[in-house]
Amino acid sequence: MERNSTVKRIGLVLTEAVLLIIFVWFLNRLFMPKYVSENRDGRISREYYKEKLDTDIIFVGSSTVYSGINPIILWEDKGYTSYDRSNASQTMWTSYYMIEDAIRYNKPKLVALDVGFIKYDDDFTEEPSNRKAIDGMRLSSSKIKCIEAAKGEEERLIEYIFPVLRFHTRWKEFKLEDLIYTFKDEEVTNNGFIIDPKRTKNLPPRENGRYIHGEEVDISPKNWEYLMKIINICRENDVELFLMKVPSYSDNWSLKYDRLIDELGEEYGISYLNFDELDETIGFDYLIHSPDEGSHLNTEGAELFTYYLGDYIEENYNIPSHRGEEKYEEVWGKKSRRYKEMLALAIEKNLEEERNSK
Amino acid sequence: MSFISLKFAAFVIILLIVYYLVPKKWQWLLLLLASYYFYLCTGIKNMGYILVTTLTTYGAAVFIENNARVQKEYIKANKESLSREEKKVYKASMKKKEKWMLFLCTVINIGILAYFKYANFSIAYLNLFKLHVMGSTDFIGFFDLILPLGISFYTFQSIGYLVDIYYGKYEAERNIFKYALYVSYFPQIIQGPISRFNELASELYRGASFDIMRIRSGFYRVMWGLFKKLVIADRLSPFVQTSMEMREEYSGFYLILTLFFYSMQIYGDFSGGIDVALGVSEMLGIRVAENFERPFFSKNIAEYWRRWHITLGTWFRDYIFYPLSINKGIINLGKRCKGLNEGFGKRVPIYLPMIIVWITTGMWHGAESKYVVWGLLNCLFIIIGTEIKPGCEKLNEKLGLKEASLLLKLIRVVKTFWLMAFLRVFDIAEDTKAGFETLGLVFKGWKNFDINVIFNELKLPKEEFIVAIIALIVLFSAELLQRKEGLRSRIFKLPIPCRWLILGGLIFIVVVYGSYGMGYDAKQFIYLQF
Amino acid sequence: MDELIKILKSYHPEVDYEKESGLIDKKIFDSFDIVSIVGELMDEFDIEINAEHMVPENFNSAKAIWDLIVRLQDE
Repeated sequence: MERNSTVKRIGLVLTEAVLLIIFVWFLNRLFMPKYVSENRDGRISREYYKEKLDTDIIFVGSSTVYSGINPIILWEDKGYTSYDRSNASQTMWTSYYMIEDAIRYNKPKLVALDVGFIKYDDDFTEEPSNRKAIDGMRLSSSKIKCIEAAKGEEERLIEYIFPVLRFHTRWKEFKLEDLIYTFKDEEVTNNGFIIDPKRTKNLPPRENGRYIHGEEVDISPKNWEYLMKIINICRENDVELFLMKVPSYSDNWSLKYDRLIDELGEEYGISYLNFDELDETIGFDYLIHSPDEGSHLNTEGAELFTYYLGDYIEENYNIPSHRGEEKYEEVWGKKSRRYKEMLALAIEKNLEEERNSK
Repeated sequence: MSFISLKFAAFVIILLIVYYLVPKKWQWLLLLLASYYFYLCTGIKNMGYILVTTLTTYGAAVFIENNARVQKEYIKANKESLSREEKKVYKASMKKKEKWMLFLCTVINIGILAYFKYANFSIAYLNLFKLHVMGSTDFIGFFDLILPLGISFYTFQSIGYLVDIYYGKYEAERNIFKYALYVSYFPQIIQGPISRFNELASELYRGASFDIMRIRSGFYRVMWGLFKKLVIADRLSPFVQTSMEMREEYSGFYLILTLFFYSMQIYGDFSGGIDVALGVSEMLGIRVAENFERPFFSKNIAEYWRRWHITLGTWFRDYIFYPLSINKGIINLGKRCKGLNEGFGKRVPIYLPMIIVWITTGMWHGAESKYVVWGLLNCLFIIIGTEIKPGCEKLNEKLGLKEASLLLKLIRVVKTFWLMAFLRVFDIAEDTKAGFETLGLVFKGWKNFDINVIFNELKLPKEEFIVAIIALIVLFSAELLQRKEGLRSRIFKLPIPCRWLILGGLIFIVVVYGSYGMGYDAKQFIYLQF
Repeated sequence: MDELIKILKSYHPEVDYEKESGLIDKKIFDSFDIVSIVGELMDEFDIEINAEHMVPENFNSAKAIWDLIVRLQDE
C-alpha cells in the first residue's frame, strides 16, 4: 500500500515535469517570430537540419551569400548538393560556429566562406541578426559558444535558450501565422537561398575608386582569430576550404584585406578569390543584377554568379555529382520544381508591386 | 541580485538541491553561507555594516544576559544576608549596566542607519538654514552615500532582538554563526518582513526534510508574487511616472487614475516581492511572519496599518509605542488632561506616543520632510477617526445602517482605500509642496478627459491598459476568495488537471504578460540593410 | 478579579472573559485598548507595568492579566 502511493507520487511528479517541459517548448515555439510570410531569411538556419541527404558544399557568410548563391542552380548545372548557411550580418565568429555545427551534423566536403564581413569591427553586433542566425540552430555546445561570442551587452544566454523570454511581448501583434507555424514546419527558403527578383532603380556613383578603404585598414583581432579557427577546424576534419568575396557593387572594402587573406591562404594552401575582380568576365550589370543599389545580387544576378562559381568549383575541387542517383534525383527534383513555382510567384508579386508603386 | 532575475532563480534552484542533500543539522550553516553569498553579491562594501550590526548586537545581548544571571545568582546566594534595601540597590546597579549596554549598542546601530539615511537630509536643512537665516551661500557638500542593502530591515530586526533580551523575554543566542543567520537570512533581507527572534530562530535552525508539497506550494506563491510585481506593478510604473511629470497638463481624472494605479503599483511591488521571499522561504521549509493581509479590504486607517507592512507596524508598536505610552510621565500627563474632556483626556497618553511613532515611521520611509508630513497626516486621520467614531455610529443608526451590514462595510472599505490613495501622493510627488499641489490638481480639468491620452501620451498603450485592468480584476477576485480560506489550500483540493491548468495559466501570464526584457520591435527584424 | 473584569468589560462588553483566551491572538484587543487598559490597571491596582511585560502571553486572557497583576503586586 505504502509502496504503491510512493510510486504514484513519483509518477505524478514525473508527469508534471514532462508536462512542464512540453509547455515551455510550446511557449517558445509560439512566441518566436515565424519568418514565414516575411523576413524569410530568419528560417535559413533552421531549415538546414531538414537536409537528410549529404550536403557536400556549404556556403557560409552574410546576406551576400543567401542572395547571391543559388543551390538549386548548382544542382541543375552540376549535380552538386549545397546549402547557404548564411544570415544577415553574419560575423566571422557566427560563421565559425555554423561550420563547427555543420561538420558534426552533416559533414560537408567543401566549405566556401564569404569573407566580406571581415571588414567589421570586433564589437560589431546586431541583435535581430544574431537572433535570426542563432535561434534556428539546434541546441549544442556550438550554439552556446556561438551565443557567447555573438551576443551584445543587452542580450542574455538564457533568452536564447528560452526564446519566449525575449519575444514574449509579441502577444500584441499575434497573427494566425504564429499559431499555425507553432506546430507546422514549412520550408520557405531554397536550401538557404532567398529569392528576390527586384531590380534596383539606380546605382550610386563610386566617387573614391573601387574601394574606399586604403592601405591603413587592418583586419581586427577577433576576425583574425575566427578566420584561423575556421582554417584549423577544416584542416582537422579533412574538409576543403575556399575563401571568397562574393561580388557586390559596394565599395566598402580594402585591397589590404585581399592581400592579407591571400598571404594567409598561401601559407595554408587555401585558395582565395575576390569575385569583384571578375565583374566583367562574369558579366554583371548591377542595374539589372542587384535589388538594392548594388549591395546584394538579385535572383538574376545570383543565377549568373552561381553558374560561374559552379564552373570554378568543378575545375578546382573534387565534388561528386549526384546526378542520376535515384534518391538525390527525387529529393532535388522536388526542390527544383518548388523553386520554379516560388520564383514565378515572386516575379508576379514583384511586377504587381512595381505597377502599384507607379 | 534582485529577486526578479534569472540569476536569483538559478541561485534558489541550486540552493534547494544542495539544501535537501546535506544533513538536516547542517542546513542552517548552508543557509548562512547562501545568505552571505547573496549579500556579497550586492557589493563587498556593504559587508562591513552588516558585520558590525551582527557583532555588536550579538555581544551586547550576551553581555546583558550574563549580567542578569550574575545578578540573580548573587541574590540567590546571599538571600539571607542581604536586606531588602540592599537587594534593590544591587539590582538597580546591575540593571544600570545593562541599560548602558543597550543604549550604547542601539546608538551605534541606529547611528549607522541614521548616517546613511539622514546625513544628507540634515545637510540640506543646514544649508537652507544658512541661506535663509545667516544669508550665507557657503554650503556644506553632500556625502556620496549609497544605502547598504536592507540596512533598515536588519538593523530593526537586530535591535528588536536586543531589546527582547534586555527585557528577558527569551534567552540570547550564544552561537554567533546561528545569530548571524538570523540577521542575514537572505529572503527577507531586501525588503523584510522584519522577523522576531523567538519566531524565526527555531524555524531557521530546525532543519527541514524534503517535501514536494511544500516546494509546490512555495512555487505557487513565488509565481503569484511575480504576477503582482511583473504583470501589475511594472506595467503601471511608466504610466504613474509619466502622468506625474505631466500633471499640469493632464489633471483631474487622470490624476485620480494615477493615484489609483500607484496604489496598485506599490502594493504589487511590495507585497509581490514579499510573496517571492516567503515562497522561497517556504520551499526551504522556513515559515516567516506574514507582512500583508489584504490591506485594501480594511475598514479604517488604523486597521489598514495592521494589515499593511505588518511586521514594521508591530515593531513600532512593541519597541516604541508601548514603552512610550505606558511611561509614567505620559500617564500622568493623561491624568492631568482628564479634566478637559472625559474621552479625549483618557486618550492623550495614546495620541502623544502615536504622533512620535508616526513621525518615526515617516522618517523610516525616507529622509525627506514629505514623509514626515505623510506620517503625521496618517496619524491625524487615525485620531480623527477615533474621535468621530461615536458620532458616526449615531449617524449610521439614524440612517438605518446596521453595523454589520454589507453596505456600511463597503462604504468604509472604499473610504479607507481612497484616503490612503490620496495620502500616497507624497510618495510620488517631489516634495511636500508638490504633494499638496497635486492634490489640488485633482479637482481641475475634469472636462478634458480623453482615454486616448492615456494610450498615446502617458505610456500605457491600449493593449497594456487592457492587460493591466484584467490583471487587477484577477488580483481583486483572488483576494476576495482569500477571505475565508487561503487560495493555495483551495487549489490543492481541486482535481489534478485543474491544478495543472491553474499553474500553467499562472506561468503563462507571468512569462508572457510580465513587463521585462527589451521588448520586441518587429521593424528591427525586417531586413533593411546589412 | 471582578474589578479587572469590570475594566475589561468597559472596553469590549461583548467578550466572555471567563472563557476567552485569545484576546491578543484573535485581535480582539488592539494596541489602543491594551495601552488604555494598562493605564487603568496601574491606577487601580497600584502596580508598575513596564515594557517588558508587554507580551501577548500576559494579555491573552483575563486570567493571564490577573496573574500578571498578582505577580507585580508581590514585588
